[in-house]
Amino acid sequence: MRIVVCLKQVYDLAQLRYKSDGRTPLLEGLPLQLGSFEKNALEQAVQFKEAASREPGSEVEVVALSAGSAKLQESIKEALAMGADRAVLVVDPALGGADAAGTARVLAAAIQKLGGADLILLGEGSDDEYTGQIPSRLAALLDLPQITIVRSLELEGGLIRAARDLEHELEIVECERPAVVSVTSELNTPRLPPLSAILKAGRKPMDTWNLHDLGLSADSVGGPAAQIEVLSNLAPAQARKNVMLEGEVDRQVEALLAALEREGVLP
Amino acid sequence: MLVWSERDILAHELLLFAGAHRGLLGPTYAAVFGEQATARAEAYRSWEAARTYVSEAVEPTDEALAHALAGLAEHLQVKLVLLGATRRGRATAPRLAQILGAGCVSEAVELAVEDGQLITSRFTLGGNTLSRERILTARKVIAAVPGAAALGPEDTPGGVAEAAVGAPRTAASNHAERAAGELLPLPFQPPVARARVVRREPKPRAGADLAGSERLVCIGRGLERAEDLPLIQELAEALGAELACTRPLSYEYGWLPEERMLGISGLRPSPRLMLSLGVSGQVQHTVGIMGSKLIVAVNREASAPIFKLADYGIVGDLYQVAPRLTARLRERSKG
Repeated sequence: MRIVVCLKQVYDLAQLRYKSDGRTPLLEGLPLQLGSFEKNALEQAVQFKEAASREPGSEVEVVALSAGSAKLQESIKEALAMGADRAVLVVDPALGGADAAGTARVLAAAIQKLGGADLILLGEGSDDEYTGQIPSRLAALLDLPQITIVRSLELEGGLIRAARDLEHELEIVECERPAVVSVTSELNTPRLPPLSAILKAGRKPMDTWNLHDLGLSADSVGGPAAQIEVLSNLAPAQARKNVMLEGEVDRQVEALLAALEREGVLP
Repeated sequence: MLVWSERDILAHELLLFAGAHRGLLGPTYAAVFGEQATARAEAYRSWEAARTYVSEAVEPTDEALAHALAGLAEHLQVKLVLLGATRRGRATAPRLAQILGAGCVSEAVELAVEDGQLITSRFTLGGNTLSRERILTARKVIAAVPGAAALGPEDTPGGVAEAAVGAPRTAASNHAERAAGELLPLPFQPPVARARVVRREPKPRAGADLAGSERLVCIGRGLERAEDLPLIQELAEALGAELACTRPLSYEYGWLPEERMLGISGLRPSPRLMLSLGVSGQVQHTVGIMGSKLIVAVNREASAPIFKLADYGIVGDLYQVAPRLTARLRERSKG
């Protein structure tokens, strides 16, 4: 059985800075890292692999798949250290301008080139963009059933059973493999790979493909194909006051009480 | 245009928006699926929908919903499908968009018509920025959160207040000339559902109403032990606030129920006051507090990112600040 985990490299937003206007985000030079929801998806795949290895005659291959720039190399090593068997990167300059629909097409083409998958796992959204469109679009492109926003997941023979984390209820959904499943951060706690695994990760197989290898043109998935025009992307204008209350703790508390009184937010 | 939401109140809000912009968006249709669909659809007759398509046989999975809506969009030749951005709606929208070859905004927090164009806004970069976007494709799919499509007073007087409480309007109230909408069955067989809902488990609810609370006290990892919770509960009580928490305290430690969890996978309320104690301010959490009118942060680390979001900040130990603040609030309410 093959599980493909689609991974996104995201901005480390804890380090986000703005231009002097205080509203325009400065993304250039912002460090990139493996997304957090992606780690939950990968952890689940590796747990399935470990469970299968204890049963004779069953085997799970975990493929980490990602599309983007050459900077992906670093993040994907972390995925390999966490337990993926191999990595496939689709690296192409045109992918810088790809939107959710373009990225989904690239991932679908890569999965087809791999010969398909029994289970495709993704995060339900990415930490930075959080459009949350890739799982649903990918499932449509591959004509597979999908179970999204999943916080617990079981495999039972050829059946997938998952609990969807909806607003007021858990919805238990079943479908046959293959399928696309998107997961939430409540699914599990991703492992921190030990040093030995990190050292071994560099020796695991890693294939790098470009759009041509997938039979896709830059214009069909990159910027020219974008379905969305971003008119502006700014921090909300209403800035916070950022008043720090100084002094000993008693003075701080008095100052806070006075501020809350002034703001009219006390009962 | 075509409107669908599993929540009728949200569908009503979207239909009011559609009705107000009929000139741009064309005739308004609605879909009602699932349990009690036939009974629920009655109300839609007076909610701006010229025709409402009803089926109880559509499985409430993303794929089946997307195919049912795509079939209707094709049948009616509509250019825009507007969904309510519940979690189910958010996941259904991109599949529908992919089938229709449409561009999609899956969690619009604002929906507006400017210069004859439909403009959406959504939070991005972990909730730090608001992205104003225009969908370029001829067909469009948008999932909008409650309130995103709320009409301004100039659009349809009275419509918004009624939408907020979900009271069905009579057809006579604003559009006396318009006849009540038709209810029709799906004009095709319901899509085959490859995924099936086998069971539902209601989430445990302790009755906390964080969404409607004016004041929230949010506690983070700065709290060292579950045994110290009363310290924070007493402060919340003295402040007339509900208790909220970050993800580690509910999901990882189990100290508080998840219905009190704020953040990307929890609640995103809009209280007048958010008092944040021992919260560092990871983006996954701050998405949940951005809507607060006033944010106060107490944290031992002066470099904690939460202070950038705070109106008032105290660099200090919550174990010292909380009891003093509780005592002073109690004195105040007595005096």
